[in-house]
Amino acid sequence: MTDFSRVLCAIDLTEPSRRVLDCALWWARRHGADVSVLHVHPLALPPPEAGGLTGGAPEASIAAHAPLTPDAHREHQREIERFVEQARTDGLQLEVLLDEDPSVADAIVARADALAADLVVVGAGTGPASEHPVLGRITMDLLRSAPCSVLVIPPPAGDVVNPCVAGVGRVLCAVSLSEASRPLLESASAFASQSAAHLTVVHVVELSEVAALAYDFDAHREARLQPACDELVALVEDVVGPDKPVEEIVAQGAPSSEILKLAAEESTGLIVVGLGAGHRARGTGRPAAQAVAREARCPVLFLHADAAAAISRPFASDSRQEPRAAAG
Amino acid sequence: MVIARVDLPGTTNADVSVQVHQTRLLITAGPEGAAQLLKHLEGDAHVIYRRDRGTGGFFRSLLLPHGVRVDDIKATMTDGVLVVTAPDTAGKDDHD
Repeated sequence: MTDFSRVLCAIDLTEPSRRVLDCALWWARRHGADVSVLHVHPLALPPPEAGGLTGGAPEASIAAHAPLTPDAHREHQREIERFVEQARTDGLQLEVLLDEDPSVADAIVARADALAADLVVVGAGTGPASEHPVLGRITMDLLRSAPCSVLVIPPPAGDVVNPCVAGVGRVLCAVSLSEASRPLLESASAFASQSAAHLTVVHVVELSEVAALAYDFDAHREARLQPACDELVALVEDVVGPDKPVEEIVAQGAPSSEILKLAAEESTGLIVVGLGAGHRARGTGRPAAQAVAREARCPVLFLHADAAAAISRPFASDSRQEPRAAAG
Repeated sequence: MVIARVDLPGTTNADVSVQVHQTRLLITAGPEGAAQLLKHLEGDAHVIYRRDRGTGGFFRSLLLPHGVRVDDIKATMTDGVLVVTAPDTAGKDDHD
């Protein structure tokens, strides 16, 4: 996790996005990264032509606007700069960006590409019709198409200390026991070591209710659980090493709810999950990971497969065996 | 019949508990493991394996095979390895 050198922080100038900015700056300071702070002015889509395909409004809940005039653009730019100046920016290389686009998510992705950002920091969003945090449409879209890792910051909660201020004491890494789990765990382990944080590695076995109807459910469950335990133990021992303090957990149930339950039980400061096809299969599939981001009360780091691979590269030539986790 | 063989390095006999609850064998080590067992028995049974190298706490819930004579289950601990064995109703002593 030491390879993050360019952080892109997307803000919407609301109070919750102050916390997002604080976390991005904290993260950048930890990693010696440069920071780009981006605000996207959402443009209204042009009216659809007769018979043409519009693709629909990408973010229907976001108020869309006309393009900014040069004066309005400068005023918006100053407003973002004032917003950023209120945060602690000392010691950081920082730039402020204002883009205009019909799709905020697309604009963030384009900027992340153009800047070769390693990490995008965004808020989880808040639902206007609910007191509970929901994963905003922009963040959901971003998680589908992000070219790099994404750190999702939940809305502030009165009873939850901001880990980006108080420090991350506990890291929970959710693994699917796929090929991608090894670099993911290496990264989470490195972060936990650097932060002197307690590391918990969890795998959730999702049991099929359909299978329960077909044959002996207890036998089916045990047949899934024991190999999962063995694979997790082997993976942790191989990646983290035999001597470091680490907690291994295998749980059964719906992955998102089990991960959230454990994160709450352990007062986790950061959840690390994979962002990529390798994590679709078991334990932390993409919908499950999005559900975690939607309801987590701590930041959730979606580690991009490329980033994880880059982090694990120094170990590629050594003689340690691959974990016994099944592919996919 | 061997039901379970568990590495519990640094754990003494006094730290380890082996219990049968309904159809499951519950193995715990250390206070953390005992706390986990309590949660399991209280109905919060989502965690079926947990080991914390930091605290030495260990918890594992295993389904007992069909035909095991529960009253004859024996557990031995040698050099940090716990072995739980039980004969089945047919009286065979197979190794799994």
